[in-house]
Amino acid sequence: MSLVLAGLYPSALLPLREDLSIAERDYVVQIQHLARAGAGVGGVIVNDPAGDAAGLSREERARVLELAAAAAPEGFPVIAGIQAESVERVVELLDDARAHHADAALVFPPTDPRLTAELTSAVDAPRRLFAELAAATDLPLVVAQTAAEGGASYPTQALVELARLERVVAIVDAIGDAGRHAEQYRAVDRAVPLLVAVDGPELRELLLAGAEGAALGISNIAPRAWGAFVADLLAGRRDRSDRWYAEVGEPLLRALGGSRARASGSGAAWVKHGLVLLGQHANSRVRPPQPELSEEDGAAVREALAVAGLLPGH
Amino acid sequence: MSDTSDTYWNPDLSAGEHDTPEHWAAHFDGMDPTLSRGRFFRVSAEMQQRCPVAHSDRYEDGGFWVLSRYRDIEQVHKDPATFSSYPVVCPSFGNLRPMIPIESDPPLHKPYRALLSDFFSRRAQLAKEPLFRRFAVEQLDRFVARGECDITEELCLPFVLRALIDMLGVPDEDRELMGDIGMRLVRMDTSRGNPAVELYGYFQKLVAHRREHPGDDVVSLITHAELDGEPLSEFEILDYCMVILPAGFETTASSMSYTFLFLAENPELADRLRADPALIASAVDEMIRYATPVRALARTVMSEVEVGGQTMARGDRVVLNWAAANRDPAYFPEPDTLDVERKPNRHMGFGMGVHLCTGIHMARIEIRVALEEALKRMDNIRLADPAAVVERPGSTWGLDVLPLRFDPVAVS
Repeated sequence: MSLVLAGLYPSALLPLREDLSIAERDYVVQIQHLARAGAGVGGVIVNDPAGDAAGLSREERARVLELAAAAAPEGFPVIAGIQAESVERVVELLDDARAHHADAALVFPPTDPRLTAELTSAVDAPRRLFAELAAATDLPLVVAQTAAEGGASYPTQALVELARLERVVAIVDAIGDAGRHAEQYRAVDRAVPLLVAVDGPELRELLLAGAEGAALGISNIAPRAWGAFVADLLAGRRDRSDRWYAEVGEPLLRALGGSRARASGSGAAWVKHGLVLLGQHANSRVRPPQPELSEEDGAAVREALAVAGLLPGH
Repeated sequence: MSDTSDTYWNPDLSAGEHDTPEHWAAHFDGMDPTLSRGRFFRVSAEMQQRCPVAHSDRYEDGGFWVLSRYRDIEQVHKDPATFSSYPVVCPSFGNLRPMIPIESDPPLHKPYRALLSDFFSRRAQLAKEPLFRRFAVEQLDRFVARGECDITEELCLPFVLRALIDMLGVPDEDRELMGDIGMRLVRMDTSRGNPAVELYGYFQKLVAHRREHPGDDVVSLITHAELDGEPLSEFEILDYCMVILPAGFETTASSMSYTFLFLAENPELADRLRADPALIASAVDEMIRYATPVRALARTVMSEVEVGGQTMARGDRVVLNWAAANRDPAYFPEPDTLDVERKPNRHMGFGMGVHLCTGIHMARIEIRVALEEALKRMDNIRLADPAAVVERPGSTWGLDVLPLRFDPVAVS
């Protein structure tokens, strides 16, 4: 298992046609755009259930993986986001990911409330779950540590146990609380890399609290600059990273992280709308259950891009 | 070397105190105006010798690699999966979407390009030769009797633009407008607004028109094309249309103007071609090799790779110095000699590999036809004043002003 995750991992957005089917060629172009963004971008997350993959069928997810794997160059890992209601369904999706050449799987907790309850309360339950998954696949596994309000967050000690599993190669931490994040980072003690996954103004603080990288949806906008920011910050090149963050990164995160769009879960629509304004995407359509962007949030996106100096003419 | 020559093309002329191999190796800039008058080729030859894989600190954050050897550039051209074609120039135009197909990568590039392969085939373009010849003659007839002209302004630009406008299917009533936009685009004239934005807006209207009224033209073809059984999106259609005018206009017109410069500065060459017009076709290719108007295009490294002994990382930018490759003595014996019978002549003036210029046949025919008709009508072609020549650096170099004098010849 030679996959070592470090740096930035954008969660690729899914371009949609008018009938909400996948705009396949646009998707290929987008994956290639992320791959070109330099060594700071370590790979890409596709079918991110925390992004706009929530409404996809199993066949569509398989197709998305197929497209991403064909578009991604050698050395640019494609990480398949996986979430399902039961362990059996998670295993099926892992099989699909393997069959369609994913390089790793980012596994979210199953959505069945009974399982969620067990996984979040019993320290040994997550280890048993991932041990079962590891027995069912030879894909490297990335643990998704979600925020408590997002469904399930594993106890810190459970993360320590998970990091010891041979097949687990990283933890993606969306907890969003600097204290808890730092505690997890110390507890895991670099047994596996820990990546921050928070599209909000607290990102920088979380990264400085301890991380090997980040998984960000917002980094679909200006991925090369985001990759350089994460690399500079974690390497201690603070002058450059802090300047860029203050001028560009934070205004974007503040608008996204603090907007109703974020609160209502339409982060993907927010970022897509930004790409539309930049002329990079044709539309900001999202699949239900993802909500469309409100007019108010659309204006907030424009304002954030202008403040960040990304909109021509501003 | 001081400028004591009465010729314009003068590669050994000094470009000032910074004109040293060490300077160019570290700060190479293919758009530096001091590289005019052919100095680009002298500097490129020095780089090829001393630092064939150089690293320049110009433009982009982190700079870019510069390849000068034919074999290294050929390696890049043959591996489009590792070397992305987007952005195709350095510095980038700033377009956030790849231009189709010139900046498309596998697996999309091939099907995109195939959409126009029949239209731009040699056979299809040869069928248009009489039309191109008529356009060329009409332009020549406007000034030949004067015995002097600015050949760029009066032949190269208007002739090539007219052929392109015809190919695009621009309706008669819009031809003047399109001509104006095209000329401002090639001259980067933004005094009346951004011509690229105007062009985009115009194509939006033209595409809508051609949806309802298809014709035998490129825009109609793209508008009604299908890939994998589905039509192209509006973005794809416009991204395709947007590249055709700049790609087919400036490059061909610049190539044509350089051929006239070389004829004016090598009268024996003009006499030879006039005496043996069958040589003009190979002369066109040789003069394109010799001038290489598209001096350098760029690539982006998609996975770690070694070129010429240097390891390049994903995301690194690489400039392919075609001008240097076209003078590489390992591939072109006596590379600094203009040999119109050179064989083989596998130059990179039109690129190479999967991204070989789509319009290569059209360009070759246009330039050949222009030379054939001009040589019939213009004898004793010479530079009116070398100091009046205006050369424009860019991703495509060209001669904005090329004043010629000649003896008019009546053609029945």
